[in-house]
Amino acid sequence: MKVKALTALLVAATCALSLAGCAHRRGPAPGQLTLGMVTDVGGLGDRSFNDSAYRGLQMAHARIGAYVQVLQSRSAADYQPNLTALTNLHFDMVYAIGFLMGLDLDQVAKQHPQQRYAIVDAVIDDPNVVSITFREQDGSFLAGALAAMVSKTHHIAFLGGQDIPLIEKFEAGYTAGAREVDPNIKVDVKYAGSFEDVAAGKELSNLLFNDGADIIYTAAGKVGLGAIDAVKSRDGDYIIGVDSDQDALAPGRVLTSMVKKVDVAVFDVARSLQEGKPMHGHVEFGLKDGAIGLTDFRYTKSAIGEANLARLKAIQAAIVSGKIVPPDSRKALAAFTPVPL
Amino acid sequence: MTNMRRTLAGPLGAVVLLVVLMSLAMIVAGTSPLDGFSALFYGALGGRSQIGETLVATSALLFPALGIALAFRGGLFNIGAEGQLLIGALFAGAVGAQLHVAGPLGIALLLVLGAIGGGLWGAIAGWMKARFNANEIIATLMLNFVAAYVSLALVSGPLKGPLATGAETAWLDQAYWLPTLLPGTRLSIGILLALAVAVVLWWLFSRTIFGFELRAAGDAPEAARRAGIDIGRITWLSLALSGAISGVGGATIVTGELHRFNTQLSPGYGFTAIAVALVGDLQPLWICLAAFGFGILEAGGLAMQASAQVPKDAIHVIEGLIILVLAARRYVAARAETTAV
Repeated sequence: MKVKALTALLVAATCALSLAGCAHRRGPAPGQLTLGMVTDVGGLGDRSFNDSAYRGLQMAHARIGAYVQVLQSRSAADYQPNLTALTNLHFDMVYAIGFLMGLDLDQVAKQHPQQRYAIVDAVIDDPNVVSITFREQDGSFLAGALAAMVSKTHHIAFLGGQDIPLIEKFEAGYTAGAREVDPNIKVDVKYAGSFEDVAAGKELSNLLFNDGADIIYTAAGKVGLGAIDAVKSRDGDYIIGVDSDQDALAPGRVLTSMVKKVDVAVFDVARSLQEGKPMHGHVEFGLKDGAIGLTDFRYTKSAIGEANLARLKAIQAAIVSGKIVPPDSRKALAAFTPVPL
Repeated sequence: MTNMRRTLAGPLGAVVLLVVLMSLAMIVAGTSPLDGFSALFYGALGGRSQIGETLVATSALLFPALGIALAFRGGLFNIGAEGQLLIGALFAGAVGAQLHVAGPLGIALLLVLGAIGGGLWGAIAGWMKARFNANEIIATLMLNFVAAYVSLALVSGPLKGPLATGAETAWLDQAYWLPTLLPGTRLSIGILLALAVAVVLWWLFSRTIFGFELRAAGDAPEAARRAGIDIGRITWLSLALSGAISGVGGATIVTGELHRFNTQLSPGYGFTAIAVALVGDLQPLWICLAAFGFGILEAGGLAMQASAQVPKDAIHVIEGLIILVLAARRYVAARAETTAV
């Protein structure tokens, strides 16, 4: 009997509290643009593209009043349920962050042809999916050109995460950019086989430095953090960071970062939807849109020098105008010849 | 009549308890239970796609719950369904990623491999119990960890898919995907297999000698032994069968929805299934209903997290409490019976 009384009491208390309307549901208002996002396993707080994509959503919230909701994925097994859950809530746009989600999104998008999706860093050939990719080769070309200008040993290096087509774009652009400035430069290329292994990043970059390279460009996620750790104790050597502005992680030792502004792209896709001219198909973002570029060299300006910065600007202008077309694969790199400016 | 009331009191009490605890969790999360529950039920049953997600979870819970019920009937508390499911999925995923036979034959092979994997894992615990009188609760529980780490080691190394960055195998060829049951959803025909297993178990429990021996071994092992029933055989056989059913469940997740093996493919189905089996009173047909109820919680919980900001984990905490209460109730009832004699 006591149990029953207690249960009744609990039920009564619950009802009372719920009627008191403790908090209004923070759902979207009618007519409000609704944006959902599924992170990849990196999750929010990765200081890389999940965070950057989320900044894009926050921009959409601040500037065009969008309602924003994020579901984080603890593992790749969460991608399908998370994408489907947001679909079932009829968000105007569901963002899938990262090429890792490509196959899962393809499957979910085919099951829900009426729902709009956007994916970052992968091209999915479904009519209801906007594929957002970046011309990483353009920014990497600039990084390579800068490295060739600054290198004293005429020997630079590239450290990739896993050898996949996405990272190949970084490698090809970087190598071509270096050759644009110094046709005889030596470019070492190494892959860590992982995007997570910080220790391997430190080890491999020490190896590359000891082999004579004095600048390493990393496109390797957290592996790059290990490289930045390695360069802290090496005067005269530099790392070029990637994705986010990593210049402050080792001030003066990170030459620049090749920044990929996922936030700009995410916001642009949302704005196009708000304006009733939704983007569709494959949309590429590059130097022109300000979605790709180098940082402002705030710690390394004097080391680089005014003349080199001016030359870099000229190269950037040539890429934007189409005079230089940075290669996006090793195959295209083989056919690349420096363009006289 | 009293018997009927006794069987119904547990599950009904569990539901009431569940509602009360969930209301409290919602209030703590700052959402009124009214909004929370409407988000939950809309997310679970609000349309075809929502029902699809609920049935995906129902199917994933039904297999291990039926396996657990079988062992429980024989007086064995199998806490290892999670590990058995994982090993079954691993067998299916590892072989499925490199299979080269005709589609339907391949699917059948993968499901059988799932049964073998899970069955093997259950049989290990059964053998330990029969041979060394090891406590099956500890044995099955600990084998969960072995399963988790064995699969993690294999899928991080030799079985890792070439493009996978997490602990995943490569994707299965589309020929080995289980056909979709409900178009426009992720629901595969795996759920029909689960229902078929339920019917077979009902028949096994109520119409066969094995079912009788199982019950005798569970209810009065000493009497059963004197009556000439080989308790050791019943022990390992029931744990092996129990594991095989969970293992098939794991294989249906791989071939039905995820289409590759991921070490995180189960968000604790094997543990929630204990609650499902107990709420279903170990009767296969009631368990189907209970699995549907918990499927609503799984799918609705995710929707609730996405729309009402109540963390899905709150539901798992509450499910854990339900297991505790129901298990304690069984234990108390069992003791009361022993003392009465």
